[in-house]
Parts: sequence; structure tokens; C-alpha cells
Amino acid sequence: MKTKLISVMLAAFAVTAICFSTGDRSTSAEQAFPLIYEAEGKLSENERMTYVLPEEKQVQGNALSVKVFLKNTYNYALPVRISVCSGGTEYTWNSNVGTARGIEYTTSDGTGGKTETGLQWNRTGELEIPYMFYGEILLPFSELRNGAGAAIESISEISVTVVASVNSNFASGDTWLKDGISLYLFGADCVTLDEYGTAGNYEPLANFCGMNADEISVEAGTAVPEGVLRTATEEDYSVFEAFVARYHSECETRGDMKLIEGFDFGEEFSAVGKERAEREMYEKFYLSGQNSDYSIKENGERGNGLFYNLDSADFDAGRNSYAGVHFNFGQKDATDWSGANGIAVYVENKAEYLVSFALELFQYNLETGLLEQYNLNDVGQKYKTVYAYDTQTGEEFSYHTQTFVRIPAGFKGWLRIPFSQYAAPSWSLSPSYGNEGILDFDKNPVVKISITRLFNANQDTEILLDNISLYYGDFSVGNLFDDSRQSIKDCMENGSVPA
Amino acid sequence: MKKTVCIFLALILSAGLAGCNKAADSSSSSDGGTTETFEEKIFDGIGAVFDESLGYYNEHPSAFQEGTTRYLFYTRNTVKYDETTDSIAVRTGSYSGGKWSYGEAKTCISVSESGWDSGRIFGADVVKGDFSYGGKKYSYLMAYSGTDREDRTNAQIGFAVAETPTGEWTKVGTQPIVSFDSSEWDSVGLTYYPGAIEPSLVSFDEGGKVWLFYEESEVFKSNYAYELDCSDLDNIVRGGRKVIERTGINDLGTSNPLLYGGDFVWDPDSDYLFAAREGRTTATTEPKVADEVEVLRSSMDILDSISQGITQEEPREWWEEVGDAIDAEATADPQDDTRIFGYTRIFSPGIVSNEYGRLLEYGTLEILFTTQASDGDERLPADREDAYVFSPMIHSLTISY
Repeated sequence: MKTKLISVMLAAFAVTAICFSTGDRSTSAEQAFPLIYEAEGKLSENERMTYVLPEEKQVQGNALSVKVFLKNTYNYALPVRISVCSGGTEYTWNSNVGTARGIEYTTSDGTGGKTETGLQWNRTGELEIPYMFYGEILLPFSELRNGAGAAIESISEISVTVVASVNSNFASGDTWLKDGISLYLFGADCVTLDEYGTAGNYEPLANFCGMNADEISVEAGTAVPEGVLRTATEEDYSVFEAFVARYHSECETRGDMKLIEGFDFGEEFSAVGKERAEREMYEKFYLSGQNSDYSIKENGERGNGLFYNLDSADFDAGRNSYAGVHFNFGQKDATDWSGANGIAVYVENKAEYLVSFALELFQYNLETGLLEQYNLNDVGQKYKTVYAYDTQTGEEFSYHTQTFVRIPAGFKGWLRIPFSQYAAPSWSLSPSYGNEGILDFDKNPVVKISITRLFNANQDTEILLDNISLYYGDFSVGNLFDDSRQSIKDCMENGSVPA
Repeated sequence: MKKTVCIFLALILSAGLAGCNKAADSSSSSDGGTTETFEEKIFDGIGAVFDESLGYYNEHPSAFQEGTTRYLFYTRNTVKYDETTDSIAVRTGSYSGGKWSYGEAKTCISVSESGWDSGRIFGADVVKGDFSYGGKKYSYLMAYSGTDREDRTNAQIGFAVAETPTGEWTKVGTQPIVSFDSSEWDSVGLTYYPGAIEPSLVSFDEGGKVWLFYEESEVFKSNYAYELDCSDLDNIVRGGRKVIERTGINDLGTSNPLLYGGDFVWDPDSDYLFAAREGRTTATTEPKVADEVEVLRSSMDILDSISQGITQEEPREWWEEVGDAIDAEATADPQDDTRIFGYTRIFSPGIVSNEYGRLLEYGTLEILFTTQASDGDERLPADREDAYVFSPMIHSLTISY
């Protein structure tokens, strides 16, 4: 077994840093960043990080709490095994039944709202940390696989093993060309879970914030580890804060709509070329297929909007025929999709002819651990129906489309696509993809939205997209003949989002 | 471009000869003394509801019955063998001797001198109601397709009004009510689509509110129901424009069956929406039109029902067939050895409704439809290659359900 010890010097801390201790403990005056385990590609073997405590600590409480943030490059969960060493014996949480407990944080310093959440054990017994999960993993000693249970009285080591094999299960394609892993490690505590499963009495075991990375060993089975453990930089922390701050469960509502993406972030996202590509490695965007000429600018429906062009000069015959801009969502947002009737988006087609785009949804199937793709295509190749409210004319209309959402010439307004129109594309229903083809927002989160455009049919046409939303109303297309029905406009102005 | 037509029927021998194949040996018209010879059309089955010489196409029938009177509107060229002289004509029908007999054609509207409908006009439908336009009250509203092209592509839909069905018709405005521009549907602007066609009017309230059903034929061919308040035609209030789902319609070889040639009738009592449509054609020679027409019905909920949210259920099958399709067999005339095969080109159906576009009688539907000779039919005049273009005629059959 080879071991690679990583030592990364901390960069100068220009900002006031926060002690990333677990639980509700008070912040420390010490400025410290967490450790980050990261790998650029798929792991060929499991990799194990082990922290040996300076001295074996007595267990206070009945469970272990490990605080992490998973910021993978793309949307997938990370399967891990967590172990402790007690009295010279290793004990591992490794289960294939039940649901592990977790606490999700909504603020970067852990002092804001928290949500109890269920975490999944996968089919091979590893705990799956959901994409974008930030919070605590709660592991009762009584649920240790090898039955130590309450017999654990002290802990001398804590190990987190990143499991390689499951990664290969994820769907192929552009999305998975770069399976960058990025796991932030904040610390571990002993906690007491009461009869309701609520955690309290945090007793620190390890605080990875500010710790030198070489205090933790990284080991692979037979090879040199592909993952690297380093201390987060100020930039890393900015990214982390941005993620946590941006992905909150309390979305702005407008009538019967809940905004899930308003593009109200800085214009720096509009950078192009290599600089942008690098940024995408840790920001919420990434691209695929042909070059997408997109930018975030003012003059959206409200505030900034996504202006999306396909520049014919950028066409690359060696790439796929489509261009895609992909937006990642954290699990906390995704769980909020339950109960929505469909998706709404503000669109402007500036061309004098029809253009099109696809608004695809990606559901992360917690049971299979696979990412499932849904769009307006399906096995039957049947037309799909889109509903529109033109804010220029006030007219509402519905129309047929297929695979892509067609936008009439000069259209400026809102489109609504009921989830009933979405289906898994036929190619994704093959066994190799493992796509069950069943949208279930009560059960599974939507972790990504993709906006794709067929290059040849849309080159040199710019569309404006803004305020991607969920809608909850039961609307009609206009109500001139029956005002007991709510038109799209009525829903937007007078509707409400269920509590 | 205005086609001034001065054809007057000088000798009317065929008035009211419904179902009669040959109205007369000749009908004449005068245009500086020119006399036209009646040329019989090609009959492979049942007779036409009225006779007109070959050289005049009679198609896109639309009829309503008000009291004991029928009004049959259809598309007709006003100058023999000249398809640039489209008009919408009306014939008045009366019931006698167990059948409907239709009188002479009266031109309602013709192509305009200029503007969006200066090339062709066709496919009209008429509904009764309360309408005002230019300060005058009108009781009948016509919707028709028109284009400024010489063929019937890039069509748009406009309105005309009249105080009586056979009175003077006035076009509403100079712009179409439903506009269409082929270039908007194709990024390179090279394709010519049929456009907005097959208008069908149904009164919502027997006043000014009407559904305008029509087909928008671009890359996708969709049928719409457009809610319009036409009480004041100078200021039409536009409501929802709703695409009509087509689930339940069965056409072999396509996932998205069509409602080509759709004519719509509403039955408020049962709340069914009836639609006559063309079947798919298998013809390889001109005209490549349908070889059958059929009637479907759906709940009126089809106009407002939206399948919201996640569902694992198959889309609701809205349409079901009503009665038997009208095909070659149905149009055969077994009493005549020369007409036992029926027609192979059957298209452009219309359901006879009441004056408000509503069902006349539950349980039966009288369907008017068009037949046409095929290009190359040896019975057509050898000296006119385009004679088949001017061969369409209108027939009637009643189906029960």
C-alpha cells in the first residue's frame, strides 16, 4: 500500500475566515479553512483518508457527526465509507438497508437554518453523500456494521474512504467526461442523538479547518492515490459560500410561480474561452457540445437574464450538433419541486423566424444512484404541448412541439410546460442507462437543468431566457369565454405557491 | 389583381336539381356574348348536390340550416377554367320530395384587388350572431382563407359580414384576423407552407363570441380553437388560442394523426365537439388529396383541459370515431353500373349544422364532401391538361351514430 502525503501551504487569508466547526458551537477567532479532497477523474481504486487523533478520545454521546460539503464538478453523489478506530479495532458504518440521518445547513457558518434529511445507503453498502450536500452526516454507534454498538468507549482514528466503483455507473456522455470529485471536510464530533434523533451535546473529535493536509494520510489500494488532499484557499471558500448562499430553499415567489433560477448573479459568468471553462469547474455552469455564446446581462425579464446565442463562427464540425448550457442545483432546492405542476420560463425570441431550445431536467434517482434525463421527446415521438403568454399582446395560446421547445418569431413572454409533457428520451431507457423514466419529485431531486440548442437550426440567433420557475396553478389558456378559469396571466398575478 | 367576371347564367334549367347529374345540355353565360358549353364532370359514384359544368371547381362545402332553409357556401372559380378567379359562393337549399335542392350560385366575396387575399380565397365557413362593423349591425360572419399568392400557400384567415346569408358581403378590414407568414416558420425562408386554412366558426353564445377553429399548417400541422369576441369587429377581443389535441385519432404510420380539413360542430346538450376530417391519402397522382372523410367527436373539455403535473398515465384519448367513414365504397352508386366503384378522392368535408355552428340533430350527421377526378383520367377533355383541377364537385351523405 502506497501512501501519498500531501502538504499544501495555506494561502494568505485576505478575508475574515470562519472556524468551520460542527454543530452550533461558537466560532473561533482563529481563521481557518477546511480541507478539500479532490480528484480530477474517476478513481481506479478506493481511496482512504485517515486522521489519527493526537490521543485517543473518550466517546461522549452515542453517534459520530461528520461535517462535509460535496462540490463535485458534476452532479452525482459520492459513495463513502466512514470508519472509526477504537481500542485498536476498526469499526465501519456500512449498510444496505435503511436511511442514514443527516442535517443540512443553509448558511456557510452553520448558524442559520438546518434541515434534518435522509441520506441513502447504496446497493453496495456505501453511504452516498448527495451532490451539493452541506451539513452533518449522523452515524449512530449502534448502527456500526460490525456490531460494536455502544461498546465503543473511545476513538483514536477517523477514516473516510471514497469508493471508486460506483462512479462508473453514472450515465455516459458529455456530462460525465470529467468526473471531478471535490469533498470539503470540516470536522467530526461526538454527538448525542435523543429519542427523536435530534443531535446535541457536540464534543469535538477533529477539526479539519485550519489543519495541515499532511496530518491526514491518503491511501489507495495498490496504486498512487489519484485524489489530493489540500487546504482550501480563499477562492475555494468563496465558491463554497456562493453555493451555500445561492442554494437556499426559500425561493422568490411570483403568483403561482417559484423562481428557481433568476440569473441574478454577476456578469463575470459571461466570460468566454479558457478562463470561463476553468471557472465552470467550480461554478454552477458548464457547457457541452458546440460552443455556446452565452452571457448574463441586464434587460432580462427582471434584472439580469441569460442571453444565449450560437455564433456560426464557433461551429466545430467535430462536435455534437447541439450546444448546451447546464445549470446545477443543490439537493435542497431540488426537493422543493414536489407539488409543482410544471416549469415556466420567460423567453424572448429576437429573430423574425422560429427558433428553438430544449429545457431538459435531470432527476437524480436516489434509489439507483443514477442521473435521469427528461425532455420533450419520448418513445412515441408524439407531439408535446407548450403553453404561452405573450406579454406584448396579452394573448395566451398553446401549441405543439417536439423534442425542442419552438419559440414563435418575435415572441416575448412566458412559456409553461407541464411536467406531464416530459418524458425520458427513448435512448436513455435502455438498461445500460438504468433510467426508470418516472419523474418523482417527492422522492428524487432535480439536480440539473440543461438548455440545449440544435446548432444548425439556431445559429446566429440569440434568445433571452430568464426566471426559470416552477408553477403550481391549474391554468387555462385565456378565459374570455369562462372567467371561472384562471388564465396564465391570472395565475401569475393572483395565484399562490402552496405552503 | 382583380378578376372582373361578367358571367351571367342566361338559361337556368337546373335550379333545384339536387343529385341530378346533368343539369342541362348546356348552361350559358354571357361575357360580351360568349356562351359557355356545359361539360359534365366525372362521376364514379353518387351524384352531386348541385351541378355545375366542368371547368368550375366546387369545393370546401360549408352548410347551415336555419329554419327550413339551407345555405351552402363553397369555393368556386368565377371564370371557367381560371383558378385565379376564386370566390366564395352560396346556394340556397330547400327540402322537397325527400331531398335538398339547391338554387343558383351567388358570389359572396371574390379575391381583393390588392392585399393579403388578392391571390386566392377559399374554404369559407359562416355563423350567425350579433356583430357590428363600421357602425352597422350584421347577423352573419364569414371566415375564409386567402393569400396573395397564385397558389394556395401562405394562407391567412379573414372575416366578412352580411345581414343575410345571400345578401351583400363586406370584408372586415384590410388585414387578416389570423396572420401567417411562411418565413417565420423557416430560418431560411425557402419553404412555402399552406398556412392558416380550414376556418370553421362555432358560436359560443349566439351573440358575438365565436370559436374560430382552423388549421395552421407549417412544419407542424396543428388545429386551433381561437376564442374571439366579434361583437365589435372593429375591435375584436382575442381570447385563448388553444391547440387541439389529437389523441384517439388513428392513422397508420404516424404518431401524430392529423385533423386535415377539419370542420367543427358543437352540441351544447351533450357537450360534444364533432369534427369532420380527411383521411390520409394514398394517391400518387394529382390531386394528392384524401381518399376518405370521417367524423370524430370529443368532449368539449378538450379545449380547456390541461394535463398538469407529473403523470405516468398515457395522454387521454380525446377523439372517437362517429359512424362509418365515407370512402369509395360508401360513395358508390350500386344502381348505376358506371358508378359502382365510388370515388377515390374524397376530401374537404363539412358537417351540416344549424346557423350557430351547432348540431342539428343528435344521432345523425349530414356530411358534405368534395370529390375530384384524377389527373390523367381519360374521360377528361384531352385538350386541357389541367381539367382535373376544375372537376371538384360536392356530394352529401348522412351518417348515423
